[in-house]
Amino acid sequence: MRLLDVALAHLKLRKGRTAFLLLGMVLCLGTLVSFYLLTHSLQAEYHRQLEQTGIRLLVTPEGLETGDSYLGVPVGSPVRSSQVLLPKEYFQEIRQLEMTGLDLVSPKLVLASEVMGRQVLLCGLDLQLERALQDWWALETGDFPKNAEEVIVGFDLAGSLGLKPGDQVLISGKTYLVSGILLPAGRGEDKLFFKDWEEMMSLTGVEGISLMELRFQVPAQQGSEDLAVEEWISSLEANLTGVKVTRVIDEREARQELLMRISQFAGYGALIVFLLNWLMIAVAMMSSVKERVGEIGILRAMGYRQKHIIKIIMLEAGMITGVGGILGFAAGVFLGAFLIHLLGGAGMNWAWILWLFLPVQVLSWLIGLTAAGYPAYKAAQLDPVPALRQL
Amino acid sequence: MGLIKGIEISKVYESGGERVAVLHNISLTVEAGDFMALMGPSGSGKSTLLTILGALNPPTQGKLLVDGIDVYGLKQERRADFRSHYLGFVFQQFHLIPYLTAIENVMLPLAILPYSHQEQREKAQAVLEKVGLGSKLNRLPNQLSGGEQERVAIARAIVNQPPIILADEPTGALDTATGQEIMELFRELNREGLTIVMVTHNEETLHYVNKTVMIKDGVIEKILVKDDAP
Repeated sequence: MRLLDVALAHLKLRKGRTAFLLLGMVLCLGTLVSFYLLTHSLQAEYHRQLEQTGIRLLVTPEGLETGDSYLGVPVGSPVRSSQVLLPKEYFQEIRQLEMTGLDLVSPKLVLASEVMGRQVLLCGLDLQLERALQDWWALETGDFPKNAEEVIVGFDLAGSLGLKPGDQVLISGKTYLVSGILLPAGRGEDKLFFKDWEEMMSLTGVEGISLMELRFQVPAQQGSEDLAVEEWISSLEANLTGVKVTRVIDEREARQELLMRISQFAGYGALIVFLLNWLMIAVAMMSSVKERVGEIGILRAMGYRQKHIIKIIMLEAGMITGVGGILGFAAGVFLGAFLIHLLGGAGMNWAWILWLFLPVQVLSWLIGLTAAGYPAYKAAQLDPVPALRQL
Repeated sequence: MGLIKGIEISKVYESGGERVAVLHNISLTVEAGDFMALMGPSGSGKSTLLTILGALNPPTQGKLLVDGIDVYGLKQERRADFRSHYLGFVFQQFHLIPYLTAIENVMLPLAILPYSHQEQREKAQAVLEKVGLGSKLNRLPNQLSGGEQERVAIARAIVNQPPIILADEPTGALDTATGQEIMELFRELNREGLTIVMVTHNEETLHYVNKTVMIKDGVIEKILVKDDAP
């Protein structure tokens, strides 16, 4: 007979309560573990995608009026003569700033023009640079332009004008060959003509840049992106007059951010579950002590020291939290794997899981020790004479 | 010199600002091998005296010496060790732990002593056999009769071989025949050398003891001594 056997026998006696406390531990730790794994997985996926797409900044003229947009970014009102443009020299100047991590600059000029009797938007850009930037661009039919005499057309615009690859189209008095139709993107570019930027400036006589998209490599040190972005924005705004610089948050990043917020919210939820579970164990242990006052009196009469009484109570809580820790961890890993699969995380990493095991067990024991500490102390302080009178 | 020596023991309880004196200057000597009964009407202070003799209840005044040890001069935890080595308690309602079997209940006092599980089991089994329960080791208390539960309680009190047994109305919850069986068992233990101090209301049990201390209103009224207890 060891004190552990006494504690175990009491837990067996109170099967319902023991199962209830175990369930609480499994829920608490399962939630904590699964959301930790999910958050880690989403962060890893975010970094993987960020490394693939790089960090993007948009440089636009300061004080733009509300008007048309390109990729959701306002580019002013190309139909008005007062459209604000950036000087075309900025394209070279940016590249000469020698900013750390800058690997691509793509200028765009967006103008309104009449084509086939319709007012449409033309977007002049360097197609090679733009294709490197917009890696999701793909053609519905045809090919990308091989020279400045060829254009590609957004899906919706091609549909409404009845254009297909091989057609010829008259733009500002010059005939161009339609080389391809873009796949629908569900965004502004579905309604645009795309042609070479230099060619467009010489055709229209309008020189300048509506917006420039800059791609930077992700800094090697994780978590330093925001600081780097702040530095890049400050540097650009200090060196180029009349510009506004903003960070591009594309759909993937926006989705990622939303998921991160959801998992953060869930993390707070898990914290509340944790506190409730702690409270549940503390209350259960306190009520266990109250219902065992007489039993504690008998043990004290037999010569049990206070430390023996404390040990019995702590062992009971320790067994619940110890077993609950292992079961909760396992439940958390399974739930985490399911949520990661559901929300498109980066998959499970066994290194995280192994790393997480020990802290979860320590946390679990801490719940037991702190929740049962006060009830155990109260049990040890019981005066055996009044305790025996309660029998 | 007696095994237990109470010197001018007084006990006062305070309740709601009121002081209630339960024992007044009681001096009492229990010799090694005595089988002593503490007898008196309800509220006379006999149970309080038993808890004081049991190192559970410090007196307001006076001293308790057991085997020359000033019991209440010991710190609280050392007093727990003292109880473990010197005393065995038998309570009126048996007070077995309901979720432990008979043998586990008897092993309880040994769980805090440096015995292996095997040694604990052997000792517990031996005393249960001695009290006639060798065939019911693994029964839970609710699977035993009142007399059997009392025997388990006695086995538990003697398993660590203390020199003194303190019993609080050990036959109070038993029928007459079972009560007599239990008293026979106490007498046998006493003959083996155990010192027993017992609180009782039952005059029939006085037949088994060699000393009777009559207590009334917190003072010893008289002490009856028999030289040849049967």
